[in-house]
Amino acid sequence: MRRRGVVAGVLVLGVALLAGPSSAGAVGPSDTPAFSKTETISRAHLVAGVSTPVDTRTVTATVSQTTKLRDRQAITVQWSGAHPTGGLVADVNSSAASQEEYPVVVMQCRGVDDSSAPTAKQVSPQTCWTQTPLERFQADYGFTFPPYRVDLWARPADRTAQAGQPDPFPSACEGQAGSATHWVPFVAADGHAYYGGGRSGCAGIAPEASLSSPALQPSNTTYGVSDLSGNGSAKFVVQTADTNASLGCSDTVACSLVIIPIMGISCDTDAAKLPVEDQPGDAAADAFALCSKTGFYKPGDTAGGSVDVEDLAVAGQLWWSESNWRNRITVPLSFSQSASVCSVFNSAVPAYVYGSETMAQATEQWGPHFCLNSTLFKFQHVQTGEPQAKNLLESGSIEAAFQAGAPQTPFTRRVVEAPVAVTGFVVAVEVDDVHGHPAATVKLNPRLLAKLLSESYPSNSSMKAAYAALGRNPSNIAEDPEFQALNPGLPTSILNGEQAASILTLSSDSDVIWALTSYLNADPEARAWLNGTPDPWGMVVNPRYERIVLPVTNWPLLDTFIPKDWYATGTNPCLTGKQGVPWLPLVSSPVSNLATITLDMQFDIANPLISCSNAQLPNQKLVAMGRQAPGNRFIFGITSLPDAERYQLSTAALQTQVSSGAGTKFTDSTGRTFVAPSYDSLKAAVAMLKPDKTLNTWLLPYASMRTSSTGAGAYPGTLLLSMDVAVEGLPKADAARYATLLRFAVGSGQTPGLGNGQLPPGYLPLTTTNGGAALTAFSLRAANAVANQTGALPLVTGGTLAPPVPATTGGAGTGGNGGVGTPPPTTTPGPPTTTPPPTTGPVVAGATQPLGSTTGVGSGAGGLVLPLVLLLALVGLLAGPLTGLVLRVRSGR
Amino acid sequence: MTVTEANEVAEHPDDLAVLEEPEETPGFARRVWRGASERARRLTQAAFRPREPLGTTSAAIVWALTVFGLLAVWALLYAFVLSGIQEHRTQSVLYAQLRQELAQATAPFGGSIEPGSPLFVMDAPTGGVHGLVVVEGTTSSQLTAGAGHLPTTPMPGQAGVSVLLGRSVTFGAPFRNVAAMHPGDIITVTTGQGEFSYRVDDVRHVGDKLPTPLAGGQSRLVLITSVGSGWRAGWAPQQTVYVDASLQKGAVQPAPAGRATALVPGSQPMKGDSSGLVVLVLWLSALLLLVLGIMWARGRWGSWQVWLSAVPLVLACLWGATQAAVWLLPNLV
Repeated sequence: MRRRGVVAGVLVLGVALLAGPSSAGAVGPSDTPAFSKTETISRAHLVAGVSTPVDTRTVTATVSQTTKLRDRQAITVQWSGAHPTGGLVADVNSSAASQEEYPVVVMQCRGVDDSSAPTAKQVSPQTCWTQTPLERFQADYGFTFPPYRVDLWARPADRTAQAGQPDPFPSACEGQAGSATHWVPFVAADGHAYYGGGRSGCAGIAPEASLSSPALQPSNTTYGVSDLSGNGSAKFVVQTADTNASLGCSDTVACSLVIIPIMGISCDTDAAKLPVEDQPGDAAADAFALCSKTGFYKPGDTAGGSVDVEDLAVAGQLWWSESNWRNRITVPLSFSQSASVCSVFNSAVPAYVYGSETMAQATEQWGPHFCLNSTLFKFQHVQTGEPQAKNLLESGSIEAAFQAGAPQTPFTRRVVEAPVAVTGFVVAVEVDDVHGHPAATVKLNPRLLAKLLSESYPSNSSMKAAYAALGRNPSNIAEDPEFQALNPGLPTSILNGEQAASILTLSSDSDVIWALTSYLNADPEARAWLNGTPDPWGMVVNPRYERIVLPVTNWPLLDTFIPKDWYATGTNPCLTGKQGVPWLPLVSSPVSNLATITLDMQFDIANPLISCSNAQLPNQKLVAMGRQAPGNRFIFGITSLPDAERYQLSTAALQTQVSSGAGTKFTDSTGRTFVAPSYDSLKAAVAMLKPDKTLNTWLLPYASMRTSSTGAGAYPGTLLLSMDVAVEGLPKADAARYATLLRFAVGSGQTPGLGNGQLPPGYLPLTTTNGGAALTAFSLRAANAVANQTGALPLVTGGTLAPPVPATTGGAGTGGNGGVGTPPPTTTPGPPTTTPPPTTGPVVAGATQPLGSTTGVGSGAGGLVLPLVLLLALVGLLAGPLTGLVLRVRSGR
Repeated sequence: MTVTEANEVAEHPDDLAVLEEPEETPGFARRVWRGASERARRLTQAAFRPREPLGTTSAAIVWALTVFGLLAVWALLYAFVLSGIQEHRTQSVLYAQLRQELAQATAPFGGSIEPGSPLFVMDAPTGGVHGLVVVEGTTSSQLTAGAGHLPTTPMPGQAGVSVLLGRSVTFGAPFRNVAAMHPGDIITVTTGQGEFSYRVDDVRHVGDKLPTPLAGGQSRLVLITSVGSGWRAGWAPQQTVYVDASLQKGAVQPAPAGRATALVPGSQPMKGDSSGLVVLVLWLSALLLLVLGIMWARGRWGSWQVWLSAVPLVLACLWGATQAAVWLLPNLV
């Protein structure tokens, strides 16, 4: 199935993979490229001592970000003026892509391109990363003078028959010895040279490398495609030492991005200055014919599955040959300190904050700001589900937590929820249009999200036939007329479309799911559909989800239908005879954290656990569908906006309002408003936040967002991130740290940027212009309350809830002491006047305290209940018979 | 009724009930009427002509009063006797649990403690407290176990003022006599951190001076219960009373962090536990259903059989209902 997918993808790849500006990038720094350089490059053969130009081009390359890079971050590389590419393959990161003709090779190399730097720190082909050894080895088993041996610009040593061959020659590589070979070892950061040695990797490969491609996590080496006008772009995933220790880039080890527009080998078949054994001599004519070739494919042609037919002289495989290498554009890269820097440099006990993963990108930049500053302290964000963190906080097991939504029931402890950031959840989409380009925008409404979540797409024709309840539903979202109406230009049917029948979501408790399901629940169309009303096209909800109560913090997998007859056919050997395994939960296959979803979306990995690995063998098992072929992708996932920004994931625009056509069939998005996550749409949502007295925080009014004018432009996935800290009972030192952290978070921590202590893209800075003044002001009050630890609780509605009055030795205790919001707020902190000072805790020795007198607590009416009951007993028992007697006597008259 | 008919009836007084019983008369009215008529018959020995039965309304009033009276007697019986039995049983279960936890060193003494779990054993011979297991939490329902520890205060043996609340009337009245202790009496407490002896400083009634503030690192125990004065003494207390005791023997132990900082409603002295209301309603509903069931069964089954099977159920429902009702009362009563 994969092959057909690849072929289909390649066929539609036509021009290039270049269109489709992703909607991510909107919530970050400006789009001005951080780097831009223009170079004039040429290919000119040396014929009889005369330079004969073949081609000259002026190439301009730009890079979106070159400093403060972090591991696995995606950056955009764009170029113009390059030679149009031919022999395209779908996956430009695969080793097969190196056979493209005239690609623009983009790779990450250790070192700087500065001749004044020590040789060991200079960038060279030997320090450039490739995932497979195939990309750095050439051998010819018949002809002795392949193009790389007659490269005009190559050093004499590189023009020998066995250039770069390891010494001693590894015995495992005997089979690789050809009449001409060229080795480009990879020299790791520790100095070890991995010679690779072709497809087999016989001479050893770096631990991070792999023999086959595509690997699960693909290479970042990109054989970028230029369109017919010579323009192109690529999303490049930088790797630091955290991911790739052999490459070893870090804040201390300089690295470069090397962009090599392949022009072809400049041939020199005379080789006048070389030793005679390196001169082609009689073979010169053949060598020149081979070396001067200009391409097997026409520009823009796809490889169509054929291999090893390309003209080597202009192929990406010879990126290291000097004729190509000298045309490089080198972009110096610098990296942020690794996230692990704090554990390395500072072994002090950190201030722990548990909770939200959506806060992770911010704390990754805030953390080093704290631990590297000797006047501050180390704080550590322990990423857990928000409901779990809130429960731990409620029980007193932890001291602080990040939440992405209010607790479902108010804290009974005195806990302040101080806003620290505004971001959102996003529906990441990796969807290619009918031309195989990434779709520019994808629009989703709550009903479509509900359909994806509720296991209501039968996922394939076999299930459709077997499962009567879903028999009339479209197999997946691509076939759904509602989706097609909102998103014209996307494929209306996809082969093996199980990945498009579900959305990758969380299996664990999360505030993100609460926010998502709140949004679904507030939408009348989605709610009515979930309640059992078919949509205008007749699609119905999976009966197991009918009338599901929302919102929830954990989306349940409810479907239990087992298509026994289909399993019995043996289509999927892993499921043959399996009587207890329902199908649709396998298709949904949620994962436990957002980071996994982000990773899957970044590398187009479809998660439905329906592929049978090692089929028919004893160790057969179901595994994820795996990477989707570029050009043929159709996957959805829930993740956070900062993740989408860092990894450049495309995000869906979500429906905010319906002005007309609700409840009827529609053919386009007319009358419906869709909003993508951006500074503006987050800002509009912040303007709508409503303070909630009971929960003592701000809530997003999903109902009024659907109707008010501001709501039309407000991103419905907006999340208010707050730090929850107890305002009493913490040790003073800890309390001071959390207060400092809070003041920082709403102060200098809101400066947008990529450096330590700055707010990364994906978070709306809480400035006054962004409507965050009320939030930051509250957080500053909260910081004071946390520092003081008196128990006085700032209220979002204004004022302060006075400290609770514990029952004291004095015995008085009439003050309220329940959860937040139950006692009447008073505007001045301080003990209520009727009670003596609390003395439950140890009083500091020597402190003077006025002695009062014991005040009692009366039992009130409650104390009189027993006497009253006695009275009742007497009255009842005496009066009953007495009345009877009286009546009897009277009636007996 | 004609004279002839009346005479016939008089000649067969035993048939009276059968003859005169209206078909639709409810069961209880029928029984009243029959009982009354038999008494009347014994009294008058047919000297009078037979009389009209009591009207349905009158019979209902008589019965309602009697039933309320009986219910009230039951409530008193429960409050003063049966609840004590229940507490005794609870204590022995808790004691067994705590004994094991102490032996295994798993008895809780810090952090977050499940409300209602046994914490330590307390002895105050002069205050009439012998081997009393004290539980976490001081709401009225938690104090049905006898005595409770105020969750926001440190445990006995730890620095600070540890507050215990106990009942003085119902549920075995473990703190009935603590107010009778004198300065110098010893209170012994065995917690998961060891054995501690406290010496009583004072028994404080309303208006007495507060004790001196505790210096840092010292430990004090405060027992709170209720007392009544005058005719209310001993069974209808109206005021709180405090017994202060300072640590005399045993080193002050560290207190693990994570203690509760807020109280559930109804934990303060003399507060009722309003959660009992829901439980009470449920028990009363069960009782109502049971009564309806008995009436239904009596029409189809013999009296003896019905009562034999119904009485345990009635008692169980009454027990549950009264217990929930007592939760509504002040927790120190």
